[in-house]
Amino acid sequence: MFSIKESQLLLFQIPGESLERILFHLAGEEFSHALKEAHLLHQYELPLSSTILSLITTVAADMVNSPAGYSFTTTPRRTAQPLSLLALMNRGNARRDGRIRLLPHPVTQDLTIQDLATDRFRFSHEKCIDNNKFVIHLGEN
Amino acid sequence: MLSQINSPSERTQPSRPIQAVYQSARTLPTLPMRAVSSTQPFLGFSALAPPSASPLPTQAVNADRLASAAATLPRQQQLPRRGRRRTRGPAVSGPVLGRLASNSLRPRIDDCLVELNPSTIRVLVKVYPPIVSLFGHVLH
Repeated sequence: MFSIKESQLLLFQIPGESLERILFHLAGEEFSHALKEAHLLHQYELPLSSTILSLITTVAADMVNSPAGYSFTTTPRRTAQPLSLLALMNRGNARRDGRIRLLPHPVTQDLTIQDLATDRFRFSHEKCIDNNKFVIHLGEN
Repeated sequence: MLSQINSPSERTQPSRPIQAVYQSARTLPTLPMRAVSSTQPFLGFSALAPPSASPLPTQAVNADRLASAAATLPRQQQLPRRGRRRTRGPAVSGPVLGRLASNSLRPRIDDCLVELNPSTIRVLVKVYPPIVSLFGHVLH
């Protein structure tokens, strides 16, 4: 679990809009820009055989070492990994309200990037390919 | 058009069928045929029309027979139509975009592989802040 400073949270806000509405209405470039400003957007070139666990460890370390200075707290009832992996729900098809939902996906020891790249329904959907980059979504754990 | 149909029926009674056996007024060609002359276009041409000047009323006879048959011969009753009168016609597939074009535009995971080292992939990690998960994760 990591905490986000209020100043960073402001990046995701639009004046005069309630927070939950804004988070749903930020789309595409806007959201990516807010993530980048909050040091939550990271780009890597990794071998296909590298594991998701190592990727999560790398991302968490980069978050801690970033100017944002995130800190992770572990609670006994949660798993050891600092971040969770998010998978597309319903094969990436949007719900009636137009939203594509994401769901935490269990991360096993041997789960690799190649496994994600070949899972078109949950990870390597065309909506998860942005400008020749494979987008992997992580969330708090 | 109507007068042409009506004119033969004035000559004969269409209600009564023609019972008499048809007998051709033409003289049957005698066999063997005469030798083909240089003036004849084909064999037996001279036997087709009688040498007399007046032509046979074959057209009038045929018209009378047709009128008689139409008036007297029993007809098969028309079968009732089944189903829709207006059919949809043969199935036609709608216009579609070329398959090659749509596939080439669609982003593929192979595009993410590093060109010089295909076992390496470009990865963009988006860490969704906790407040997002509070309301449920939605792809942005």
